[in-house]
Amino acid sequence: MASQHAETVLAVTPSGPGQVIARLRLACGCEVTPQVAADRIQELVGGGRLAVGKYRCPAGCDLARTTH
Amino acid sequence: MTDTDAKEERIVAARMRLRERFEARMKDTPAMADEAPMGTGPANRHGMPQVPPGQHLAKGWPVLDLGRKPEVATGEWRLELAGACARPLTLAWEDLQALPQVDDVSDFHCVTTWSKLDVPWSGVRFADLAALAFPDDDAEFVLCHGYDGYTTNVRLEEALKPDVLIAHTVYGEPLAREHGGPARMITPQLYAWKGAKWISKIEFLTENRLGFWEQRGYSDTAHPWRNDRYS
Repeated sequence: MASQHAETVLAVTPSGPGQVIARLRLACGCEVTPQVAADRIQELVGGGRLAVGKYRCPAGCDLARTTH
Repeated sequence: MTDTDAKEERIVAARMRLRERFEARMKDTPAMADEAPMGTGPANRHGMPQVPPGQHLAKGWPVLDLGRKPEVATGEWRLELAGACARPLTLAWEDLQALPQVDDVSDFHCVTTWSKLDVPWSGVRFADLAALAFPDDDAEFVLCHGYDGYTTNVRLEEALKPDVLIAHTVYGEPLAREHGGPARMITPQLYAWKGAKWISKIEFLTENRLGFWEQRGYSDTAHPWRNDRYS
């Protein structure tokens, strides 16, 4: 099962020191809510947020090598 | 002529020879040779679009590594230059500091799609370090090793570019441990994984040998303006 980039950061909730729970929409359209280091969710110059890294789709969608 | 003068002369000659060997190939690398490189924004100092394709400008500086952040005191730090070279050597921290120091502002492009522009680094040019080891005439690549066990391979025509540094200072402060301090390599014209954090060894190679991410499907060449992320 390949990991994917997140297309959209839907919500971010602090979950402990340096950690957040992020609700992300993946490239396949499915949503995941991983707990990640806070710096994995980056504010972007010009607005918006980026989820750094790749995430496994819980439904097993296989979009290998998404580059968005 | 003193022994020191003679040694410096040999090093300068080695640096010139390396430059001559790779200058033409450097000009042929994608960052310099592509007539219509991908990306957006005004041209950077290399004539490439400021933001490579698929990259986003991050306000912060995410920390990416293999899950280990080795703590290396400068008193314990060593950088070994080895492999296909006439004079393998090991530098201590004070040896690195005694080499010509460079301040350079460059951009940082992570393959995970974030970039940071205008990062002010200080350190030693890779080309100056390489000359100390007198790479063999058939050396074409380096494999860089980190104290965390990480490896990454770089072609010499990329590593010898003047903005490739062994950096020990950023934003005027010693490079923090999480960003690869006390010293890391930076490769501004390649994706940043080509610059080993906590660098411990530079191994000159006559045959290419893939590093950690390159063995796992990431690009051998890693050119941001070609969106060259995967092999």
